[in-house]
Amino acid sequence: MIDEKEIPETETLAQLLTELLDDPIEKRLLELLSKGYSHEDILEKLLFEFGGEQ
Amino acid sequence: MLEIDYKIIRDEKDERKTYVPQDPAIRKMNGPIVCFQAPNGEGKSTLLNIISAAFYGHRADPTAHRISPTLQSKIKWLMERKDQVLSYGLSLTSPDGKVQLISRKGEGDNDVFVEEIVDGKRKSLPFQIFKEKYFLIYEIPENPVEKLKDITTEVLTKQGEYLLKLKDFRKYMSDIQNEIGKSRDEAKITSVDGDLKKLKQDLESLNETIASYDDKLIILTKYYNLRGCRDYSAKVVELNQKIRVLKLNGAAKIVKTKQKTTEADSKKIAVETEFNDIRKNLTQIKEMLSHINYDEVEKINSNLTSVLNLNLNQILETHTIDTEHISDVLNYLQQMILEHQDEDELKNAVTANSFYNDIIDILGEYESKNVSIPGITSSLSDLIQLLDEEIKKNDGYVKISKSLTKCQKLITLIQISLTKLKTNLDSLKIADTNFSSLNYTNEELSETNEMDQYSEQIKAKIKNRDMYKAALEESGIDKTDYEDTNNIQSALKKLEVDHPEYKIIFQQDEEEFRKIISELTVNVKKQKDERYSKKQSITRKEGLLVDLQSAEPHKYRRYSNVIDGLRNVADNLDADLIRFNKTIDKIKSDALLKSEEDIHYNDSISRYLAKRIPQFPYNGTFYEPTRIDLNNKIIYTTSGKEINTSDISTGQGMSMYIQSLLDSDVDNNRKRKYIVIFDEAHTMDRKSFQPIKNELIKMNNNNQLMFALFVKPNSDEIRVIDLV
Repeated sequence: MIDEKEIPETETLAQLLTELLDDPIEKRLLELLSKGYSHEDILEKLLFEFGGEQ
Repeated sequence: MLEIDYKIIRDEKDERKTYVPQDPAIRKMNGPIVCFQAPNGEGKSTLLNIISAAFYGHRADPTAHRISPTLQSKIKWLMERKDQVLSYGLSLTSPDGKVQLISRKGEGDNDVFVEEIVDGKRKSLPFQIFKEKYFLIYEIPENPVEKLKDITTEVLTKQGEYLLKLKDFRKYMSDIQNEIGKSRDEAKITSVDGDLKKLKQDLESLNETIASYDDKLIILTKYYNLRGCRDYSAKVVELNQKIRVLKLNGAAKIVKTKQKTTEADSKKIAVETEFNDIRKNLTQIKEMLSHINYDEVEKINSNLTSVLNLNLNQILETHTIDTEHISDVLNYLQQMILEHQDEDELKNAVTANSFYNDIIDILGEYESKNVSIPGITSSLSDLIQLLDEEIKKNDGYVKISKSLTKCQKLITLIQISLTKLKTNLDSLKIADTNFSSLNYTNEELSETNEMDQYSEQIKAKIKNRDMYKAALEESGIDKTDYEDTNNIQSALKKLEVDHPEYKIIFQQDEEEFRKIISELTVNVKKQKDERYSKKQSITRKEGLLVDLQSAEPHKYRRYSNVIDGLRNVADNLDADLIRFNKTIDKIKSDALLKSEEDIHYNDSISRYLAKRIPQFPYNGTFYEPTRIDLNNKIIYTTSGKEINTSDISTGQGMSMYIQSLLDSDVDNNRKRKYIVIFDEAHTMDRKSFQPIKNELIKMNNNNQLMFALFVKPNSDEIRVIDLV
């Protein structure tokens, strides 16, 4: 799993935009994109947080 | 530190003038934050435009620069104008001395060449790399309210970046979905395997049904055909028996009738033959005369057609023919042909050709011998050739003569045929009269008719019987089973004994029985079609199963549904970001925001803009904004004061705008170094400039600033003042 400490803060604009979004997954996706995660890491994190037990 | 030297050679028509910086203060400025003052006309703007162009300012890319549109056009003009040649060399060193940017353009160069020296290592700095590491701001005071609106461009650019990242992520998700789609799917394998087993069971059951239907169809068809064969054979025998009885009763009269009929028929045939000969010969005459093409061709055709159109059936019925008219036509033709044969040209040509041919025969006989004709110098061969040519000249007339002779012969033949036809027609009349005068009794006539009817019925029955026989033969039934009536009977009996279950069907009449067989045949075909379809499905499923079993597993297969859901979320976010961009456009164009979503968005952006501008002066006091609502044109501050943007002065507006620009890299984690150039800086008073200076000092302390240059006019002299 990715070390959160190495990841920069969410961008100011992205933070404000997430407030305008209703869907928690959409919010998280924008946050992760703005933080500059790789696609693989974004998917891993979303699956971990929202995928549930499969 | 900024060091620059440049040269502009301009064609001013009356002379080529060279411009170079005169004052050494222009060539070297220490920095990093400098105020440059010079009188008007000393080349301040030219210097700033060259510095901007040196860092790709002429490309005006918002991801690398923030340059006011007025200045953009000036930089482009500087680089593109044809009446001057610009060359320069520029060096810009960071305040800590670790980074040096070198830009140059020779007189023959079309574009600038930029290099970067970091820790002593020198390398080229193309535009794509430049914009990742540096940011150029080049501004001039303009309408303050409009300038504030320009801050929204920062938002638009940033949202555009999110959209691009999202586009790549959606593509990545789509690829993952495709990979999962092609990967091993245990649930699908189980499902397809189950389907396959079920299909095979169904096929087995269908095969049994078809086999039983086939057996039934074979038995019923065999019985039906055998019975049909037997019944129609019996009917033929019965009808023949009836005819035999009728014949025995009236044989003599039947013979008489037959004789009379034969006589009339033969006369009729003779008339038809002669009539057809006449027609054939007349047609031939018509064709030959049409080739000669005489003036009287219409009259000839009219005469011939009147005979050719005679109706044979009418002649046979009335036993008469207009021989007088035909003779007139023939006489006319004969006379006409004789007249033409008597024409001099024709006669002479025929006579000459006959003569020439005779001579050629004689000459030909002696051609090979050494003889000549006294008084004639030409050789025999030459003479033959001359005669041949003469013969050819007369050839057309000779052909006409031959055709006319042939026509005369045909006319003679027609005349003979006409005489015979007349005689035969008279004989036919007598034969027909004799036949109609035969005295049959009503009973005799009825018997004759009855016999004819029986004969017709026999033909139909035989046809039906043969049809049944053909069906039996086609189905492979042994001939002995249906060639003999007793055998047919035995075979039918055996079928009845062996298959009592079909007793009721065996008892149906021919039509009903045929219907049952027809329905059964349709049913069997339907079942066979279904079997074919099932076999096809099995083949397809087997192929699919092999493919599924050979596919590699995918680590996200079990998350397939979740990934589909995430893909939808990404699509929704894309739609939301596009919506945000539209709202920014509305804010920029002062459109009325109506929807709740737009109003919320404006509120968020107002707060975001406030974060970008830490403080600004207004009426002698510094205020910290909490929200900058560009749509409603109100700046909310921490002190509770609300300021209308239209009350902001040019200097104050520029101060706010530049602050926002200096903070623009906050969302890029402050990775880039800034080069800041601000023309006409005198529009900002000390208070308006102070927040900018504070921000620049902060940036300098964070190693974010390469150089900042503020330019003001000065009426006295050129001065360069370091502000820190």
